[in-house]
Amino acid sequence: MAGPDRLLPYLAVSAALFALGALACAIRRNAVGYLMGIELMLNAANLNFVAYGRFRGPEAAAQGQVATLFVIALAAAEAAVALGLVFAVFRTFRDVDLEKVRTLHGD
Amino acid sequence: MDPISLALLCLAAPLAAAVVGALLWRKSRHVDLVSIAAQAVGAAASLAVALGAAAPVARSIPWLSFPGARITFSLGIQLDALSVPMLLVVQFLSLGVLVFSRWYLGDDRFYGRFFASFSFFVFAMSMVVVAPGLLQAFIGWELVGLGSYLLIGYWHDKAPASEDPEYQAGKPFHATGVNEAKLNPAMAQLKAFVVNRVGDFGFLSGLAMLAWLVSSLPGFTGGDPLAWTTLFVAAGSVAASKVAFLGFTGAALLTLAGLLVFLGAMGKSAQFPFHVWLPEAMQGPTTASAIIHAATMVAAGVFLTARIYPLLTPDALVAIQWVGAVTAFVAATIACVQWDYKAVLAYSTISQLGYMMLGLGAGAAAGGYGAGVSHLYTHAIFKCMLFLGAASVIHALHGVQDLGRMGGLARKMPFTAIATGIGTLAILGVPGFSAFWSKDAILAAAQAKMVLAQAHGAGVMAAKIPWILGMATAALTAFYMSRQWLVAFVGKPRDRHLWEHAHDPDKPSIAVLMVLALFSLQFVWTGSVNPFASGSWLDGVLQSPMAVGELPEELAHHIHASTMGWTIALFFLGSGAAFWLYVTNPLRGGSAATWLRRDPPTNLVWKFLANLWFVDKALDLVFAEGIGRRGGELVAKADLGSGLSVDGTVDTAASLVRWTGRFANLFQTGRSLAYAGWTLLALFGALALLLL
Amino acid sequence: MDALLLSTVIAIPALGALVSWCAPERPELHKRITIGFSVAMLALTGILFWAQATTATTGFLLRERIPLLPQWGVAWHLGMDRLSATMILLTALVQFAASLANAPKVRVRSYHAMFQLLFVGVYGSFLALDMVFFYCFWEIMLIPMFFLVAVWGGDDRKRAAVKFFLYTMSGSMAMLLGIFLLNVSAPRESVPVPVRMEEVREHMTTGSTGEAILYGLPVMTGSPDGHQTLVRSADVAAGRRMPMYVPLSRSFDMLHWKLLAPWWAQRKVLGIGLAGLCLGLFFVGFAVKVPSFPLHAWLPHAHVQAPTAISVVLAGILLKLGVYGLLRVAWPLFPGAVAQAAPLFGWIGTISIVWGGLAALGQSDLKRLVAYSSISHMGFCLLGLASGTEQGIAGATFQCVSHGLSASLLFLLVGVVYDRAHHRRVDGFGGLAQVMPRFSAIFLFSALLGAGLPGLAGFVGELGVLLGAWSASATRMAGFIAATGVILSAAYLLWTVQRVLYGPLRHSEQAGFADLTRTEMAALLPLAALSLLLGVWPSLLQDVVGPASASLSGHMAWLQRPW
Repeated sequence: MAGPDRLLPYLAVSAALFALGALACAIRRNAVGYLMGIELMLNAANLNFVAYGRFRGPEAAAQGQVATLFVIALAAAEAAVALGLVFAVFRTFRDVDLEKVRTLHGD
Repeated sequence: MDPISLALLCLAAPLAAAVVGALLWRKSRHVDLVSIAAQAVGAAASLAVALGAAAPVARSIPWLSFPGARITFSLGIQLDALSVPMLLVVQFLSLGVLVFSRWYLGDDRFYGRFFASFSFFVFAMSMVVVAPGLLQAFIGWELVGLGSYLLIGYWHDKAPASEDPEYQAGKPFHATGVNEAKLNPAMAQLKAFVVNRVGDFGFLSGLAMLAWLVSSLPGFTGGDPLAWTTLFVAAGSVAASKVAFLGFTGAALLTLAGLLVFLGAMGKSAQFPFHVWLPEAMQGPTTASAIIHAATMVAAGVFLTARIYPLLTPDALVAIQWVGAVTAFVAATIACVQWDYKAVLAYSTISQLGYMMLGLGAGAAAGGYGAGVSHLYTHAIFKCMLFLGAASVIHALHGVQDLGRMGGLARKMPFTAIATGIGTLAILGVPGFSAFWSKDAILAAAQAKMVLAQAHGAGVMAAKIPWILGMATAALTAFYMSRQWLVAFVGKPRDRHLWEHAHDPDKPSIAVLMVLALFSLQFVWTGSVNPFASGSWLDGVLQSPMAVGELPEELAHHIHASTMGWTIALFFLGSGAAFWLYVTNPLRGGSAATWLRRDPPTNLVWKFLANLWFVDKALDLVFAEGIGRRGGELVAKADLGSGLSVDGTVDTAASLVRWTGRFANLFQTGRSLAYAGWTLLALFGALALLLL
Repeated sequence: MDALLLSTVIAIPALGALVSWCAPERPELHKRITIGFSVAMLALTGILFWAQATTATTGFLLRERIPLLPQWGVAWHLGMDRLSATMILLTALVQFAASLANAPKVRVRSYHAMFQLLFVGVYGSFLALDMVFFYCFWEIMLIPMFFLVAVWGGDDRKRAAVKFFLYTMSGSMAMLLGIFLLNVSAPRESVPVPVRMEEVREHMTTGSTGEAILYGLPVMTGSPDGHQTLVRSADVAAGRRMPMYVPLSRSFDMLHWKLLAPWWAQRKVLGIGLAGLCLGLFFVGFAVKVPSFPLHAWLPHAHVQAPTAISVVLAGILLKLGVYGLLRVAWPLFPGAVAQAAPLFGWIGTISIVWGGLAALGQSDLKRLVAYSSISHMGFCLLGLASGTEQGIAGATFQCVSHGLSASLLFLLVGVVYDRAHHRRVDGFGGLAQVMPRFSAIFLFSALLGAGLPGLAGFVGELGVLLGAWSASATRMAGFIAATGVILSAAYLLWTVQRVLYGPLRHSEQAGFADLTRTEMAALLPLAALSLLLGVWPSLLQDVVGPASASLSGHMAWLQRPW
């Protein structure tokens, strides 16, 4: 088997990935880049699931992989919807810069 | 017919005439005949009652019942020694005044409405007189107030005096106490009603208090707690009970209840300081004043006080006597400087009503009850006649009421002069005229009270001051009434043109005046031609409802004689002064009165009196302007104004919600990245909380 | 047939609303429809009132109950007794008068539909005996009222409508919280609760084997935790004295809640006495509607901005719902708490009287003046209720009826003036008596009615209240001060009469004002005639509501015995 055979490194990588994804969500102005951040976070969670599945025993393996499949499917669906939203925004504003899209404000 | 049905006729006939008149007065002038016919029926019925009924009789029907508390208030008719003569006086005087009014109002634009209102008034007044209990007395009381309201405001379309050219042209000089911007029948009727309402507040409170006290007694078995018989029987138990209110208990509580009811009498009978409505009520037709402000309505207060006599504790009576004495004196002083014919009579009425209260307040032991009630009857008649005389003069002079333009009218209006002359002599208490008997009785009662107080060694000062004020008032009365008669009827006419066209009223009206003049003579009341004989055929009527020990015969005789002496002396003093000042007029180039008005200190006294002791102005300032207008505006602003008000507080609470919303809105920038940032912050925060 | 008679009372206005909604947009037609339905209601309620008045029973003449959610105790429960019969007749009278007043000419369909819908809520509130349905009908009144003011009102109508809605809604929220608390605190299983013997005697029915049934519950005697036997109705009728109990459990039935009063008096919620807390909540809910100081500030706004007919309905009948609620719900449920709070309630009533009177003196708008006079008059009702005596409660009920008539009269008259002059400033008139004699006569009559002149209905109510206030030590001082209300009412009403009707004609353009039309007279005269009739012959009404007042007073006294 390739890769480290302790849990911790995988968790560290997934944490790092999650942090990077969160950072992308917080900072990036481009809507597509924002979605990339979301994908990163989702896949970090996936990595977590898989890691736990590998290192926590026989039942956990099945659970981990099933959960990952769920998340992949959901991420795909969500990506479809989100990209649809981005398209709609682009149609209206001719721009996907999130800083510029602020008409839905309070006052 | 039995007496109760006859008395019912005395109420029903005027009421029917009032309803007919109210519906038809615009269509036909003949509603006056309807009223007169109904009144004739009423007068005949009251005479039948007076001649027939010997023993007191009463009948009532239930009106308002509270089954759980076993209280049932009833309305009905009670005919006894107090109500029958009063009913007689009311009905007959009303008949006379109605006949007179046909001539007086002539072709006035509102002619029929006068008779409708008048009949309604008679109905209400009769309701008070025959009331078997305090509640019906109150109901009739307020309806009397309504009748008076309608009659005072008869010419309700008149402009205020300050805008009325007729008034300005004919106003008497020195009319300083009057606020002309507020002087017209509409405002006078409002003032009369509201001032009476203040008294009614007391009456109603006293009524509710007595109902509570009587119905909470252990001996109360149900029925009407305010029926006279029940009330009087319970009075003793109330005085002995331990119930308390505001720290008053026992007899003090009964005093409070009695004085509260008396407050109503103060309003109706124009006692100081509630007298302010009466002079302004002169805005109504003079014949209306003859009946309501001379003879009956204002007498209702005295009547009520006599009626509730068994409820009045000695303390209450002292208070009543003082109120009467002060009223009599104050009004008499003001009357001395009035130049409006009707104003003199108005203040004279207030003063005489004070006299009656002075008499009643002297107490039964001093003979005060009989004195007060007898003066009530005699005054009703001669004052009514004096007002009708005034009506005759004013009509003859085409609406002029200014004494300064009268003079020598006796030559042109002999019957009027004779009638008013007899009335004046009566009010002065000259031997041979009715009030010599009744007014003397009052002063004698006051003196007897003083003597009794000296015998008991307590309350001497409290009894002496009213007597002194009474004596002073007698002198003043002699002065101003003589002054009025002499200025108007004797001497050279001050306005030749007006004098030329003066004439007596028509024959029916003269007949009314003469009949009233006859009843102003003493022998009609005492039954003997000798003015100095004591006793009267009315003594049985004037017996106090409370059995009290009489004064020793000799003492009573001595007091009576000394009072007679005083009265005659004061008559000469007052009338002599009037005669000297206004007829012989020793000071050339201006009357003594002008001299009195010019230099201090007399001109300060004159100013004080001409401004009506500033009572009118003070009450107007404090109540009408102060509490009424300013207070009303203040409360209105405190309720609905912006800022600190009841409404404003709620608006502020609503604003708080709005500000909270605005604050929350600050976060709704529309910037998705900002939202994302907040979301992530919340997410990590929650995670941190969960893990820690 | 009579089983669903009460539902008919509610159904007819609902039907009227539907008909109005479907009818074409023609003002005259709609006016006829509305008048027609109001005449029908007048006939129906008149018959019901007459039936109730000629029966000797103090209890419910008609009652219908259809269980809907038995597990929660919710049922379609309507009942009519002396109090409700009087109130629905008054409602029909006010409905008739208001339907004759001038209606707006725009969006007539909606207006008349809302108008009728409003009365569904009113009749329902008066007849409902299930708390859930009472609350529902209470809320049903709000929505049409809001629209009626907000759409067809005066210049500042939106603010007034929102204010009215929020005030009343907040009060209803308090009431809802109270209902919820009471339902949660009711016993889970059936427990025997003591019941007053007079209550049983007045309201019982006889079961199939001669046992006494009270509101569908068997009446039992014996000790609460020992052996219990059924009570025979013949024994109760004969007046045999014995301790009686009824088994009560959780429900929303108003009558059962009344019987639970001894139970409520002893419960606590979060450490506070349940009775006191719920009385406070219910009082807030009803006091907003009465309206009593300090929750009254919505009334001047709503009255001024509402169209004439709606002002008439608002003053004539909606205000009475507050008093009715106190009489039907709050007072019977918590007599002990009421007795303890009586001085407070009495003073609130007195302050309403004096504050309303003084504020009326300072008004320059005729409608606002009459609004404050309403606040002042309803203060008397609260004072009478606070006294807890029979005279006070009877006086309060009478005052409700008499004020319903007098307020309707005054608002109709102000509407007449506004129609002619298009303004309502008191100072903008003068000498109208010379131009409009019939109007002046009725105006003076209404002013005297409002001032409580004896011989007119207003006096009887005030007399009863004052007698009651003096008889109860808790309200004696308040009653003394409250009597100054007679001075204030005479002052502001007759001063208004003097400024508007008397004196010289101040504005020559007003010389052409038309006197009252036939329609206006038809609206005013019945109200005036009834006020005179009730003033001269108060037994007509007092004999109907008197026993109910006596019953409530007795119920309160019984529950103030130490337990």
